[in-house]
Amino acid sequence: MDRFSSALLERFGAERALVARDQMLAYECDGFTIHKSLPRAVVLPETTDEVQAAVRIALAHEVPFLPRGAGTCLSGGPTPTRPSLVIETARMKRVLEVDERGLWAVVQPGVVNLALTRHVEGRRLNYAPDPSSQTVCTIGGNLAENAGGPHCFKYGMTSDHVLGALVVLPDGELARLGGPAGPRAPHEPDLLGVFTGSEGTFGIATEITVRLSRDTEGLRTLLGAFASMEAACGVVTDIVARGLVPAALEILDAATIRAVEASVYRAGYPQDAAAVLLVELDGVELALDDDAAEVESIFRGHGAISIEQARDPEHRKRLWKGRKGAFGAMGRLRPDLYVLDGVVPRTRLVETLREITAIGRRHRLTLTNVFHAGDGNLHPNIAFDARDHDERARVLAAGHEILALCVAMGGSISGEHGIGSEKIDHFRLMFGEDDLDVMQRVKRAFDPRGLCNPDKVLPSRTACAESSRWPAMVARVLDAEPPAAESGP
Amino acid sequence: MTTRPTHDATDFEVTARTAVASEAELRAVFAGLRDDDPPIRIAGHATQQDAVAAPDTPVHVVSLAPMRRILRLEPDDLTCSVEAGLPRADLDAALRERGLWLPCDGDGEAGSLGAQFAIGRIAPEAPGPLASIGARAVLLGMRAMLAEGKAFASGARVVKNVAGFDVHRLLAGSRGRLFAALELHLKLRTLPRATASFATDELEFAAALRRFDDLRLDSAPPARLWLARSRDASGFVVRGRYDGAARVVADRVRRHQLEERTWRHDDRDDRDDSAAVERVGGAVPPSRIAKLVAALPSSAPVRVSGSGSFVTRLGRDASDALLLALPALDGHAEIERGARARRGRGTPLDPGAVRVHERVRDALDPRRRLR
Repeated sequence: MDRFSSALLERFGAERALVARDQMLAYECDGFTIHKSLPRAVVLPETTDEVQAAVRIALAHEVPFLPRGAGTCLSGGPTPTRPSLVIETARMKRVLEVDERGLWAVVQPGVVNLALTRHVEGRRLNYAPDPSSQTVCTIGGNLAENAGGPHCFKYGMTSDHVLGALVVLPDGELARLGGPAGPRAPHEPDLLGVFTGSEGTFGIATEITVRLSRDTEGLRTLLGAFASMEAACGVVTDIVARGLVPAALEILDAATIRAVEASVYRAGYPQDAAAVLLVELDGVELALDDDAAEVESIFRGHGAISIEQARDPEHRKRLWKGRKGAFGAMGRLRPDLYVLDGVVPRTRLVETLREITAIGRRHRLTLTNVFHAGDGNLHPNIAFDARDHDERARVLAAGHEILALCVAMGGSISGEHGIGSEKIDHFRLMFGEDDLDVMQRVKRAFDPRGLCNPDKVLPSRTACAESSRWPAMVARVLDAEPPAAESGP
Repeated sequence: MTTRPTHDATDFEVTARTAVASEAELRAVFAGLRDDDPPIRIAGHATQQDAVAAPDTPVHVVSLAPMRRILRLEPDDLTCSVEAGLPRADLDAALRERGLWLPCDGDGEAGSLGAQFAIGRIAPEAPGPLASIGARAVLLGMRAMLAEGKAFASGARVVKNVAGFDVHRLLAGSRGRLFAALELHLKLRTLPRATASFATDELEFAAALRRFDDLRLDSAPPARLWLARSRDASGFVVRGRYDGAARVVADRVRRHQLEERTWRHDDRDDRDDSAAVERVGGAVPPSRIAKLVAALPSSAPVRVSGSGSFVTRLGRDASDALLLALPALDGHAEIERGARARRGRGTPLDPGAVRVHERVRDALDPRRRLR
């Protein structure tokens, strides 16, 4: 056994230091299963001191290291690119403090997103960010990825709800960024702001102070079915223009509706619709019926085929079931799924979706769309069979074209999944050499030795210079062994 | 571009003032810097030059005030892009015409948007979902320039984006010492359908705080909320504004038995530049507002927002005592206005955070050309 493994075993014991190949198989990828790579070792710390110890052992042996939460990330963020130490924070799952009147809580990074809301729900409080994986994803992972979710349109991203963090920096030292009074003192820049969403490349948060929100008085959930995607998107534009601020505005296209309705996630969506739009209004009870009536009127103005409003919590759950199960339902189409994550200005949704459909046809792929319409955040899903090398290459090529399209429309290559290793070759679609240089400098300021989750987010300068050789990822993936079948996100 | 020698208007030494109207002009200023030239202080319309720490050496002030165009306004997408020198009041007026607003405080101010972000005064006041997160909620991205003349972009123009590192977030509170922001991409909201401003009569502190907390912790809190004691007053008033649907606004005013009244902050406090009295700004967790007030002299004017940010005016001894007391309340503050040697003093910062900040400065402005 090498000295590095011995040092980990000595500090963490055999139960919390995993060094055997069969113990580490679960850590070879996250939800982006196209990229797989075994770590060199995995440790399961329970305290800030133990995270510091793990980082220091890695530094002493010049071993790259990276944090990992529940592994639900969809862009390869917690997948090692070199033989690395994975520091899994799932055992750090205590809620350390709740200040009900201050509306904040301090949690360890392994606290599951929904568990925090469950922890405070008796006090009529909640933690607002709700990524689709909220039943399993962790607050630490949410912070690293700046996770979003269906309710971002009204409530914002994780970065809008994080007040502070105790961070083990990549040199093993501690820094406390922000706190319950706010993310920064008046006489310092927003270091927590740039740390949030740095995808585990700037250090490891071991205590996170988050904002809690008061529960709203009521909810109204409506589903409109439309004969065209244009009509569904037109409704979204009208709702926003009228000053309504729904908590969620979610669209599923016809292919997704069919997949959902043929699956265990069946929600009773009209199968003859080209698109369904799920609108959730929350707020003061007094106004909700008026707001819901206004949304129904907008639905009708755009020729809705059918309109359904949830009558009770069970009915609401059913309307959401199809949306929340959409990715799982794709398993019926093909064994594997590539979930893309681009953003366009909301007003360009329709033309973008038209182009995406054309890209799918050109590459002979099964392509469906589920998206956060209020934010213009698209999730084109490509169902495929990873054992088919040719199909995998077409999937990745189509993915690149779709992200290039989003940028050409004035948007972004990622709204909430992050860059990770998945989109590192797409980085230059959005950013130039000087942008990359400045981001690399900031990365070095946090991580001078470059050992904290290397090869993520930013392409190397060499890769940039060779960007014309894209798709480099296609080449890398095709050179590798085909991955085994994956589960849905 | 105009440059002229000057020695006026501030209490620190200014060797020259240059106004730049474009990215190219700013690059030319940076390119012309020799090692022995005074460092640069980035400014907007110079409305806040006496409200941040004074530079420790004579400086060449470079103003971005001529860069004041609205570059892009997309009402249907609720976004816009502006040059950093655009006065906030000008943007507010343009947005109002389209039924839009920038959902954070500082509205109507004459200073530039770039300065509002860089000085760090922008913070949504609402106790609701966006409270105290500040610039992050509305600043989607930017284009900026390092002192070496390298221009770069960060973030995006769309309302949701996680691509790359969010270097633009470092603008908030950077005071122009990391880079000069050139263009800002901002998130907008549609104007509320109805609003109602309210203010209570003067109340004893305990009663005012109860009223304030009832409103702050309501499931539908006011969009703006303040607990304030003015200089000449013995008691506190609760002021605020509800935004939203007309029925909701009217219901909230009625339910909380509020009296609709327009109000203004007591600006006299902010304009008294007597060196003996200092303006201190900061924040505490809103559950610790009572302890904050207890830490102030009983006659000190103070106003605290629903998110816990506060402004007060104190004599030097009281300022020092407050800065010492705040860490125990999980709070922080800075002397914003006062004598040159005192401005910029604040509660002690975490040593680890200071170290990272210094490394970031080393990375972005290694020659310390920006002060």
